[in-house]
Amino acid sequence: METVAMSPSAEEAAQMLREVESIGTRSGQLRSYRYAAPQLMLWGVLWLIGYSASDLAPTYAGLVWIGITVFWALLYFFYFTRRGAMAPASNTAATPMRSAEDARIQRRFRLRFFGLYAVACLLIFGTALIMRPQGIEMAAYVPLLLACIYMGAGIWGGGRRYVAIGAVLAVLALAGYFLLPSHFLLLMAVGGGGALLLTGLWLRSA
Amino acid sequence: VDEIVHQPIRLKIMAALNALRSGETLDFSSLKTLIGATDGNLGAHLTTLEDAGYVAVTKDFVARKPRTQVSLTRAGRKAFAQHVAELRDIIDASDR
Repeated sequence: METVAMSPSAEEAAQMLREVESIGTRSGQLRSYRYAAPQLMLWGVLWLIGYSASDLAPTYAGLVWIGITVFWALLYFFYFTRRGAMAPASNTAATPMRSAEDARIQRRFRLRFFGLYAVACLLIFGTALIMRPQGIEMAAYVPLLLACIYMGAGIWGGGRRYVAIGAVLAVLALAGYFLLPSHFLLLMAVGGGGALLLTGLWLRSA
Repeated sequence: VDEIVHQPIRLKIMAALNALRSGETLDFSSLKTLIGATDGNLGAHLTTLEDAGYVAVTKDFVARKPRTQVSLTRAGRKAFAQHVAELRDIIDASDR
């Protein structure tokens, strides 16, 4: 079904393209926020568990964090990548059907995720092995690194809420390390975990 | 140009949906916020796009509340890409 309309002028066409770009960017951000929201909320809970274990049972903290890392990788692989690629319920002729191409995109997405996850683990554990940070130094380094990743991603992709989340985490990590070193782990458990939970809710409301 | 896509509100709807991955949907209220249209206006334009085969509209209930979700079809994605290319051609032609 196609009818022909008068062609727009160059100025009108440029204006339309600006609007298309603006709406597309906002829609992409909204999609990204909705996708990230449950992950951030879950990370809030995992931080609460991990940092609480580090504070209350330091002997088992390493095991708890390894468990959290593996749990997250499996959950992301089997749940979040599947969810992100879900097709709508209708299967009318007009509906975009799942196809071999969609499956290929999903496979590539999962491979990229594992690649990125492996790089992040290498960076964190590699740095730890070389620099050998002790006690709260390592506990402060990881959230600071994550905060920088969030801020960088937000600045690069235009997602202001990611910049805000990163800034909150960075302030918590640095302020806790320098001002409250004796209660740092507790601060990251309650403050960091709580901040992730709240920012997840904030993203969901976008 | 394709008059169905060319209409400003419909072009915005398709731009918003085009930013999603194939098969992903946007709910009616989010779309309304993004576009800045009223319920009636958005509904009418969605019907036009659905009749043209450019969008797929699915309706269901979540916690007993009706939910309308919209996605771009393959035909819609193709028509949108073609329209954007035509707009670029118009600008390029004026620059020569």
